[in-house]
Amino acid sequence: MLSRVAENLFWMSRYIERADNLSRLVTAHQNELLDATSSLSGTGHEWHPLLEVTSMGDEESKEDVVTYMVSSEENPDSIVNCVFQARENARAVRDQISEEMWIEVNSLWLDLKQINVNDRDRHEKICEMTTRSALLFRGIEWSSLPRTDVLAFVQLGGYLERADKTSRIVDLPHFLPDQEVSSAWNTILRACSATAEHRHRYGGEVDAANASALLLFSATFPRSVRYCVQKIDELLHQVSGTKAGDYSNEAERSTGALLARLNFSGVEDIGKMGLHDYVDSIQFDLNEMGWEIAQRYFLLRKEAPPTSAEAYVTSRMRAQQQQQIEEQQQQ
Amino acid sequence: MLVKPLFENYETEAFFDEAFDRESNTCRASYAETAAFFEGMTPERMQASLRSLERAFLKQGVTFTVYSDGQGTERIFPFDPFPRIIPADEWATIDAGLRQRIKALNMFLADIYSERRIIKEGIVPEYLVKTSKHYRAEFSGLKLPYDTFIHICGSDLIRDGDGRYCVLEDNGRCPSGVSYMLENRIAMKRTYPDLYRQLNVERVAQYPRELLKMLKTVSPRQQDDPICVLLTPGQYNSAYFEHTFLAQQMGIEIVEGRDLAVENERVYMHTTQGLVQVDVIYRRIDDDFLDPNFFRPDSTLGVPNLMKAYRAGNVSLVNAIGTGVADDKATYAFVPDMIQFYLGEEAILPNIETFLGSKEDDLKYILENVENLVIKAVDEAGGYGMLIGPASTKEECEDFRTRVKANPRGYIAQPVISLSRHPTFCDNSLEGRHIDLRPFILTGKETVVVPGGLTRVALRKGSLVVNSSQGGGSKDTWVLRDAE
Repeated sequence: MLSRVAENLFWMSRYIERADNLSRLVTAHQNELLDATSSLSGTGHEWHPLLEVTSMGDEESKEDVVTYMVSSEENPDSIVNCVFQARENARAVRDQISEEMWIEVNSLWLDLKQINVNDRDRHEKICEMTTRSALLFRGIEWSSLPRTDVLAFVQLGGYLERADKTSRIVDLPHFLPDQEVSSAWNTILRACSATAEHRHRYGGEVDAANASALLLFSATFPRSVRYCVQKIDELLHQVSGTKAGDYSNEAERSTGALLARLNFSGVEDIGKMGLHDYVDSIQFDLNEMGWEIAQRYFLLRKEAPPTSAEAYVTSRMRAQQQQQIEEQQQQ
Repeated sequence: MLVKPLFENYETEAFFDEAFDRESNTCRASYAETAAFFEGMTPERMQASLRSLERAFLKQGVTFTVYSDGQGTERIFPFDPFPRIIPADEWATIDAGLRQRIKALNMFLADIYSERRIIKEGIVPEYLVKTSKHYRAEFSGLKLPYDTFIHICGSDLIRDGDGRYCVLEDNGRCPSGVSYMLENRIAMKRTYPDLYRQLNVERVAQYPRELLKMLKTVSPRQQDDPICVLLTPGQYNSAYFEHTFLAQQMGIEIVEGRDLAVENERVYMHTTQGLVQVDVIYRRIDDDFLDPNFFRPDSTLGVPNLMKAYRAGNVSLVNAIGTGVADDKATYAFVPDMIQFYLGEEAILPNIETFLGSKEDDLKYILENVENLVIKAVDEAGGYGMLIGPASTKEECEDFRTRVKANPRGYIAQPVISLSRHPTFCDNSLEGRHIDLRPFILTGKETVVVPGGLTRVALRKGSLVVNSSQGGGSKDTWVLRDAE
């Protein structure tokens, strides 16, 4: 498979996952805010914790925070922009993915654009449509893509993004006032679609230790960090043909290392470091994995690779713009 | 014979109409079933089927990009459901004419890049070739598989006031539009299956297969299954949909310049498993952008040193480098002479009478008659760089007069041809709109002409410009099978 194609498949899937997780988080937080008991209500800072947890920065924007996260054009990671990026990546590999898959992501983009700016339920609609569509997307992916590198790179992107988002969402209490922390776990579970699973395992009371154990260390819950890293490990081995437990490149090595850590850890290990620092260390490893995957599979070109994943994305966007200008000249 | 209730307000006016015979005021035999079919439809049902067609095109992303608003908006190529119908005997003439023409054009290119017989014998003036913007003297002497330069040709045909098919121009660089021919057909079959079946229409769906077959025949490496790729400028190009569509249909990789690299005069593509050698590149990028080390140094779309591999004969480019000299609008005027010179035949499909700015007498005539002529820049396409005298203001005519005077070689002029018209849905009724036809001709080892093509229609009332960038739409083209 072409390196660029692998890269587009990977990012298409990442952006879908990012849009989906953001939608879930916004919906769950909105639900929490409806409760009059929330000390955040009416402070004008209701949404700031979400900005910080998603690393969208706390820069002053003219728009209100929800708009900034959901539909802003200036925020490159707003839900609407994520859907746009997913669609642009899908467009670049239309010939590789199934027709239904392209139609799904293209329709979502067209439908989101149709929503009236003055619609009072605009944000709710965007979140709901995005989550539904992301589920459909994963279903179509599973039932229509060949079991080759095509599906592997789509899933790699999806699981890496999901691991990243789950770990960030688990870190939400760090950004909340103390009195909000205990109720925040409801939001967290809901945002990770884990409420029912938590109830099955631990009964009705939501408990920080149980919830974080479920979301970080479960080997069977499909949105837990460990589950996602395990899948990434399997997929990388499938792509390279290396046998399990061994590694043939840095992407496999860093993934294996994080997986071993998660396999043999529990909430006790969080205790020693504190949740925030523990999650930070996981995110550091996830970033490294993403970087190594890009090095191994996407950046085989001769030009010197940029210095970080962020810089890489920026340089890619700049190259695209340059290309766009030339293409226009070619009309 | 059908009298015309649905066509109640339909006027053929002074034009040749594809569906109606002006003299007898009746429907032509080839259109009888189709006219009857649409006659049985209410305008509401018609509107509804139009809307569902458009929605389907948009959802599937069958779009092109318009840059005029600075945003790069995606639009669907407007589609008219009333099919253009060509009877078998008419198509037989077109088919023979196109084959004859592409043969002569390829012989011309092979000749001017080697012996230059046609110049030595004074048929085509040397300065005309030398001054052509797309002439690539530096590639003279290169031997190409089957001496084919133009592998894919889209020659635009029109019918004049008497219904005679003529060639308006030959697109021998990177002709586009074939995906619309294929998608239009899919949409028509889905929307009007009964009518389609009733008419016994020639298939067009084999085009991608024929294209791939052709690509493989021109591969320099013949031992294995050759690797063919489609080189696109990228997803922001207006024809990107077509690029992905064709690549997908053929099952070949669609690549951008950055996916390819040249080592040891061979072309490779970057894959997740390493480098893979490429044999044939169906490129949808103009010569100028192909290799920054050879052509435009600022281009990021191309592949550095691609020309080295091409010259070494290690990779085939489809179409070849330098074909633009054959679709120069001044060269066009000499195609009937080429046919005579190389094949000893009369041109089956005539040219439009053409005046060359580079000829003294012609220039004089052009300058005196700007207001009555169509004037075209020789190296432009897509309806750009042209003037339709009778439809232009005094200032516009004056402007072109100045331009032609300053660069006579750069312009040609033709009489205004009243293109044939075709019933087209406009709001709630049928009206006549001007059309042309772009069939697609494939040439590798042999020539294949797919029976059909893209019928483009000028949707604006009275307009003669059918280009999609300027308010044109399209129709499906149904070539009827010979009734035996």
